[in-house]
Amino acid sequence: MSALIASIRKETLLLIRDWHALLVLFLMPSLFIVIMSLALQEQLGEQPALQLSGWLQDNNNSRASDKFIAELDRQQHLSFTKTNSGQMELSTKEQLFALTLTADFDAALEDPSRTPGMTLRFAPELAQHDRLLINAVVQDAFAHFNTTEIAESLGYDRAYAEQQLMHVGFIQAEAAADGQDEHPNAVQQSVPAWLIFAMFFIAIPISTTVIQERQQRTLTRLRTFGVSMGIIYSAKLVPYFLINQLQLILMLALGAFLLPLLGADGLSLRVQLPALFAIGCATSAMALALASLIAALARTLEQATAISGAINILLAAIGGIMIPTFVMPPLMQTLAQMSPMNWALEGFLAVLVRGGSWADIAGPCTRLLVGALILWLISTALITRGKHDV
Amino acid sequence: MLCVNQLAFSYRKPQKQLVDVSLNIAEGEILGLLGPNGAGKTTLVGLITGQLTPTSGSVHFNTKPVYLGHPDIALVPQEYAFYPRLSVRENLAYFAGVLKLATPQKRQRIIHALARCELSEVEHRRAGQLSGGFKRRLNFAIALLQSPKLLILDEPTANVDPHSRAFLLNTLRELNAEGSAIIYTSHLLSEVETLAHKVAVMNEGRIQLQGQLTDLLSEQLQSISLKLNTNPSAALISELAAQQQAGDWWELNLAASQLSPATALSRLEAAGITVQQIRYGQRRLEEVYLNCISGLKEHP
Repeated sequence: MSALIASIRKETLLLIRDWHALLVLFLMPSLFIVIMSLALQEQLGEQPALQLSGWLQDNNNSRASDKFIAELDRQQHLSFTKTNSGQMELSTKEQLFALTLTADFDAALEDPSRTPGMTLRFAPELAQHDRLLINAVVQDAFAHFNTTEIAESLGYDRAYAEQQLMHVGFIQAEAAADGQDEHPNAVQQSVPAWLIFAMFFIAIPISTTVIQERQQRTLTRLRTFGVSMGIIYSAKLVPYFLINQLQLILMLALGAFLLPLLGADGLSLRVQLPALFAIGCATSAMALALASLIAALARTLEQATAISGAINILLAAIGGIMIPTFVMPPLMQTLAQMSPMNWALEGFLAVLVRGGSWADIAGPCTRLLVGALILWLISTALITRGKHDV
Repeated sequence: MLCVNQLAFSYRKPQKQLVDVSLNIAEGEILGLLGPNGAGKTTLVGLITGQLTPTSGSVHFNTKPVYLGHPDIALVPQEYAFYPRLSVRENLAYFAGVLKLATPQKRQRIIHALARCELSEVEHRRAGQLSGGFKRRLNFAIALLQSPKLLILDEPTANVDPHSRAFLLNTLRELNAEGSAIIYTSHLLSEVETLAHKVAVMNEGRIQLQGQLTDLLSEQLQSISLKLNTNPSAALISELAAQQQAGDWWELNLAASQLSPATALSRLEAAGITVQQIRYGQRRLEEVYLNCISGLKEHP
């Protein structure tokens, strides 16, 4: 036991004196979180209501056209610049469409077959989906206006028209029951993603320390001191496990307290903290196992650094760390599920975005722990096989 | 004390193996283990320290089989086998910390190692910032923490200044005088010659030559170097098969003259020549070693 305590103390001293490792483990992910949260804020943040602007010309100027225009003003997706000029220039940079109420607007209401009451023109470059949206909004406003008019003529009010005639609310858009369709905002995506990336980066200091000990024959010396390989490796893992937990706390604090000061959305920590800690522990177990495997495989410092860096970047790229999985095509989303970083990210997002609890992280945690166990067994076999290399 | 009996070991690579190695080291004895790179010295050290398991044969220490982590056997690797980012004292504290000893005993051993290797003045300095000489001392001091009965040193004076080399060799003599047996591998044959009681020369995984140093040198003695106050006559030069070396130094080829050292000296005395200094056997170990390695098995 004293050998284990002495070894843990030694590893801790070595780690806190390794400024390069500390910069990689703490400063690098902090910068990534700040930069990526701010950079992706518009793409992944709360989208303001879509509003498309256009001209509105009323050539009818009747009570009916006034009421219709009032109805148009109630909707949120189109904004109008009212004009009396016949010159209504359209472009995708400014006014996207021109809606003209014809001089026969009120007459056309009485006899729609006679003449159209409105004309709608679009900027030539305007995308089809925007044209459809504008058309649908105008149609919807007109349906409200016309139904209300009919209802009033029958002695009913607007509420009756909407509820009994139009059945407003008949279709209700809902989030999926399990919240799976909820996408994280920039901070909810960046904080756990770059935290996971940083946690896996412990592979570099762990593997380089092991290789230095092997090359300098410090491991040989320790073995002649009667220290078992189990103690040597366990002692390395304890400080790095604690470093992973410290990373977790600091990165979450960064998201919760610093990012709002920089103008980004804040990360809410009103979540199941034990579940958050559990997914953090499972991620750490996987990161430590991967680090052990790299340490067992690599023979030189150059190999260790290159292998660790390459594996981490590859796992991050396919695992949804650098690019969120929900913007990936289906094939890449399937591929992402092979990355342990993706398992970890799924667990963190379940807790941080969807307020998940133990049941929601059971899958990711199991995958991470089983994966860690497999990597442990492989690295132990490699270390045992390599013990004959004096 | 240490008994290596018909030891054999084979790596996965068939050309790397150890064959039929036997040697004995008694308490208080120093064995100089010599051999070119790849001769099998490190493998033999690995077998003696229990890092490797022999394919056949045995290694016994005090009549019991050796095992990895034997408390009485300490190894000083050629590499600086410590942590550069820790101070001298932290390194010693760590290695003492992993020993199965009571805390006061550990403290005592740290103090003793610091004092014996004269490291107290640098005990708080980072090991990586020490000079080569102090690094060697620290490397050595860590082994002393084990208070070993058998100390195995692999090239302990490589890249060391003369002062630190002399210090290490003196410390080894002191330890030896206190009863520790020592296995010393080095490429500096002069060091081995001044330190060792026994010598074993390894090549291609076998011990080619071994024995007491004095026996080997007397058997192999072929010349003697003398510093004379004046040059001998041509007749005497011929009789002694002498050849002038640098300055006043002369080498007498005893094999060619068929004279014993005592006879050669008496001839010089009779000619009125004073012998100011004698170098006897100083370059001889190198000669024995080179002959052995180059295949001239003078002592199979």
